[in-house]
Amino acid sequence: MSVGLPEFVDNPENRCPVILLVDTSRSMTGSPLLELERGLAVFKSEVAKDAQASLSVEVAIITFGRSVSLAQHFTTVDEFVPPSLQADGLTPIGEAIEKGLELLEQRKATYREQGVQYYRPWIFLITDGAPTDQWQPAAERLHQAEQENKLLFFAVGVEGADFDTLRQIAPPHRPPVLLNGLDFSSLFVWLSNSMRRVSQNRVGDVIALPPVGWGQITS
Amino acid sequence: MAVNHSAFSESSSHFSPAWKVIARTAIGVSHQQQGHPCQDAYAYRQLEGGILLGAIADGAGSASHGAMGANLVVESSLDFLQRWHEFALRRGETRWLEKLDQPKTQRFFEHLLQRLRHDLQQRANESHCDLAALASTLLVFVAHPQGIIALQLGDGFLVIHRGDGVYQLVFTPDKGEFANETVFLTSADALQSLQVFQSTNPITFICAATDGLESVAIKRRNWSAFPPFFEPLEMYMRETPNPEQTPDYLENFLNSDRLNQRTQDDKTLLLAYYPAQGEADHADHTD
Repeated sequence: MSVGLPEFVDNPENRCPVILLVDTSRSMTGSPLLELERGLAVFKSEVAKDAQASLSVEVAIITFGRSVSLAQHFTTVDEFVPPSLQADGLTPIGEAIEKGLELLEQRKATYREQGVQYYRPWIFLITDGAPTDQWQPAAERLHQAEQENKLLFFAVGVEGADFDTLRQIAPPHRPPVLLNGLDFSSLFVWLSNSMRRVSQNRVGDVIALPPVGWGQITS
Repeated sequence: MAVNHSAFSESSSHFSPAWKVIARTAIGVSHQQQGHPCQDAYAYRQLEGGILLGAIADGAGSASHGAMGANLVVESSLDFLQRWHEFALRRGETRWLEKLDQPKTQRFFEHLLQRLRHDLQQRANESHCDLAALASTLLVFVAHPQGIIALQLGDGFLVIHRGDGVYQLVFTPDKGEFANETVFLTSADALQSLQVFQSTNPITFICAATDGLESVAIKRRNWSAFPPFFEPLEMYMRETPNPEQTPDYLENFLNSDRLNQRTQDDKTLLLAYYPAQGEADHADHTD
């Protein structure tokens, strides 16, 4: 008997969408932005080490300073080239969050069209200042989404950031984290390890995130 | 651990089974790495008159007693179905299966669902845990010479072939918004999420599986069965006189590197073939 073996259909990989909202206001000029760029390169190389994660993780970057712009549309790490960032302008955190949420909805629509399954998305806000625009409506939308379990939002403040406001923007159960100096590299190593666990996640498992060694949780 | 049952009906143990059936579970790569126990379960029974009962369940990863839940629901389902059939026979309703239309099948399976939730609650009480600790999905079918009835709650898949060249995915797996989310027997919305199927077209081949094989067997873009996955399995069943006694082909496949490179989860596969119908199809095609 020479029965062949079942052949496999080509389905797209499940996606882990991650959106980085990055502060490029004037105060980020010099070392802060350089270290952040270095951190992005670390993120790419760390995720690339994990076969499953490198097929799953999709990262998009929205910068906010003089304007809010899409510095990087969703891409998997193999195609990800960390953009070089310019610092200038103020700190429109509210608008950045709104743009991030819109970008996420668009991406989900694309996933559905293509029959692509995805994990709960992550949004990371990185800032060294205080918002210079109306942030309350955006924060409300965030809290609503968190309550409905639609996404995971993390706020990271560099030394000097306005933590009082950040505490109001971040969801109550996940307060903002103060970065150790400019150690973005450790932050991004942590993020890549977390993404690895997400991409291996089974039904309903509570993901034990790796310990936050790159900052202090402020509550 | 998966439970393999091919017990014959107690009311008559001297009949030739009409179906060829085999089922196996292979532990997933990620479970081996993380040391998780297998939470898949399956059971099947043949009853006189060409009836095949089959059940597959996948315990929730987050449920502390998911394996127990899965094993309970497959056994309880088959017990329920067998008792119902025997009761029908005693009342002279030998063709009760054929007479089920869609609404009656729906009510029938809702009845089964309630029975299972009751059994799960009882087991939870005995085990001093929450109902949710026994969470699992469930896929059940009753195949007979004139057709099939089936239910699905949660993910996993049921594919049937009527010998006409079309492999039909009977249900669209129930997924939440996010990958790996699904609904369970213990979920509050289980009843609303119950999917039911009924057909009076004779079946030649059945393939039931847990979620672990979905990514390689089902085209997700339009939720359809991928024929090149199922054709070799059906041929294996057709060509093998007694699959349960020659399980190498299936076991090798489920444990192959090729498969483990594409899947991480536990994989359960149940295959059934009805030679009488298969031969009739063959005769039709050789005119």
